[in-house]
Amino acid sequence: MGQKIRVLLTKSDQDAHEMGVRHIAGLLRDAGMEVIFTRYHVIDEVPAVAEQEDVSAIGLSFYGSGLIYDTSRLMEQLKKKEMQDITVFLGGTIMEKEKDELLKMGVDMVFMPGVGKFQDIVDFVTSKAA
Amino acid sequence: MFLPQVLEEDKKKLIQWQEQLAMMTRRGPAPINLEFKTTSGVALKPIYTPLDVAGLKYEEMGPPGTYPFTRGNYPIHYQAVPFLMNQGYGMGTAKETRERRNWLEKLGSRFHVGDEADMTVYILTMDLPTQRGLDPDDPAARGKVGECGISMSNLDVFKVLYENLSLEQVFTILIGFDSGMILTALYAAYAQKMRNEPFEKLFFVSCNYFHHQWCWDSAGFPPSAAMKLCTEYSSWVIKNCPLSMHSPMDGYNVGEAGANPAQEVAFNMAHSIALVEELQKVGIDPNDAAGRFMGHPHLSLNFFEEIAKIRATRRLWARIFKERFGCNRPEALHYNTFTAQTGGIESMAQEPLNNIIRTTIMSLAAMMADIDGCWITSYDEALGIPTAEAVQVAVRTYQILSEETDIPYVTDPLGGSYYVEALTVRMEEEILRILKEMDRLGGYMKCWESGWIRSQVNNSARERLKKIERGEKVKVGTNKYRVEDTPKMHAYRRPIEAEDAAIEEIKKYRANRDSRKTEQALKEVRKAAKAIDKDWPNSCGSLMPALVEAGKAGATLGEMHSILRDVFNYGYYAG
Repeated sequence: MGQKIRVLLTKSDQDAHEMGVRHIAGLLRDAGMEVIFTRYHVIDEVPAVAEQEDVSAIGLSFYGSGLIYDTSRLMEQLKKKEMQDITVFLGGTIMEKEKDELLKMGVDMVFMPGVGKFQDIVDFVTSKAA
Repeated sequence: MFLPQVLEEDKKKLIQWQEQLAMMTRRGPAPINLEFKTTSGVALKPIYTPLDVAGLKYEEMGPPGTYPFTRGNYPIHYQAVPFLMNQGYGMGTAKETRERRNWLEKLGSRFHVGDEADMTVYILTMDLPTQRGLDPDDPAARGKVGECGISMSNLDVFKVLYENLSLEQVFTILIGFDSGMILTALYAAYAQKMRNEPFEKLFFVSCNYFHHQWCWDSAGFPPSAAMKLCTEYSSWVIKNCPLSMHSPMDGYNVGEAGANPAQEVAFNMAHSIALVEELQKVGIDPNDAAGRFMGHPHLSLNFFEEIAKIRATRRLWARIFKERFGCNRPEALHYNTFTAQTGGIESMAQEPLNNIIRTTIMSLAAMMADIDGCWITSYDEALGIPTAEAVQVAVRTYQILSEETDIPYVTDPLGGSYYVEALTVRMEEEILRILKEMDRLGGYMKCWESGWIRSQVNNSARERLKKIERGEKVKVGTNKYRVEDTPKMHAYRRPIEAEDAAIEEIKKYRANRDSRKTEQALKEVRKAAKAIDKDWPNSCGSLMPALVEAGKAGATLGEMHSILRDVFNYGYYAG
């Protein structure tokens, strides 16, 4: 086994809907990963945290609000900072048509409500970030 | 509850029942599972008989409307006062929200109580920035303005919402969380400044939910500051707004965060007790404090557990406020069940029409538990704020339950059911067990500060999700009988350009005020907030009036809230 996979899970500090992301944090930890779970005030804080924590993946959780703006802003910033090698995945109440838009922005994976199993997220991060 | 002969007879009959059961289980090809537990961990029996309620004294039950109000707060209920439609809404601008209200009214969603003139109901959900005290032009608000609720940051919003409405004929719930206090101040400022009306006419509840960090970990005020702010706020409402309720007993959000039903009640009960104690310290009679909470229980699909939970809460509330606080007014002994809410966590994104069935079952539980009213969530809320069509179905759900069925004919139809009465007793014991555990751990504030409450909620939430993942908790169409892979539902989303209009408006609002006056009023807010921080409880009563004055002087929500954030060290205290 090499080094532990380091993952940043984050969510807006305004949004209380966190049951899902906390559960994912627990599952990734159970799978042996180092999970950094934060709340951001503005999305622009996230790339710096990812850099400091030296993570190979960033997972964002949304309950709709701010989804498109925050994600596009994050992808722009990662590009600017030449951090595109970081895997970005999203989860939350996301609609099909939004999924396509998000993938076009360069997001690696979008997990929609009730689609698939929690384990899919663990497997995805393992395969991408190992 | 029963004569000894009945219990003797019951014992004999139970032997016969056991023989029958043995025959049935022997015959079956597979073993029959008879070991069920409620989500709160109460073990259930396959049947209930008089022996299960033999220990219950009839006086602990009594008819509805008699102490300890197990069967309901009123002698009769839906025969006289219909099941209230407490439909929450809010989107985009004040104008859009007012249009949604007009649509709801067209469907018949108003309060009708007896022959009195009926009331307009504003149960306003806020967008995320408003809930966290941010104006629409705050950088952190970008992409979130008006999206999952209305943006309310200044008096002009109130002006659009309340224009041409007589204030005493509007019932308002401001679902503002961290901003609840300031939203109330803005409403009061609007009434005084723009309508020249006294505070006494205001009829509202503001969800000044400063203690939310024990159920979720978004930013918030530190526990001791949160408690002071809750007390400051509640005492102002109690003294100034006789029609209004000062605090929610907000089971809904704790339940949505994952707490099981017994935890939901125990944590809220602990908060209510602590708040009434704090209010006593600033000279408020417990009768005034206890009588003005707004109960807001969470409902899940655990139909009987929810009914028993609500009945147990009523009994427990009556006992605690009578025995511990010496309350004697009926309204103080009533656990006010103004509005339950059907659980969003039960709704699924797959096959959303199934959510109509789920919310119907949950609202039926509310009626069986003699709840005043309910917010029946719309079937598409698993993805976003509801469409007009989904709202229509929710309104029709109340109307069908209330007007097409025989449910309202008899108050507390389940009263006396061996099962429901026995489960009510067990739920009460379970709630008391958690309250005792909290005492053992050093009391409510300790449990909050140490993150114990937060971890309890989180554990229950994770346990539930694991059960769904393993298929032990069935969600039809999602983890069983699945045919639809990707949710086909569409949710309301707002174009980012719509934000620019809101930003323009707030800029104009600030430009049109006397900024010297605003500055001065905000200085007074800071002074009052510092006094609350440093000189408590002597300073109680200083902050709310300062906020109202600042609102009148044109200060915005964000300007006032940022002072509170600064003075009280807003941040992360979830544990």
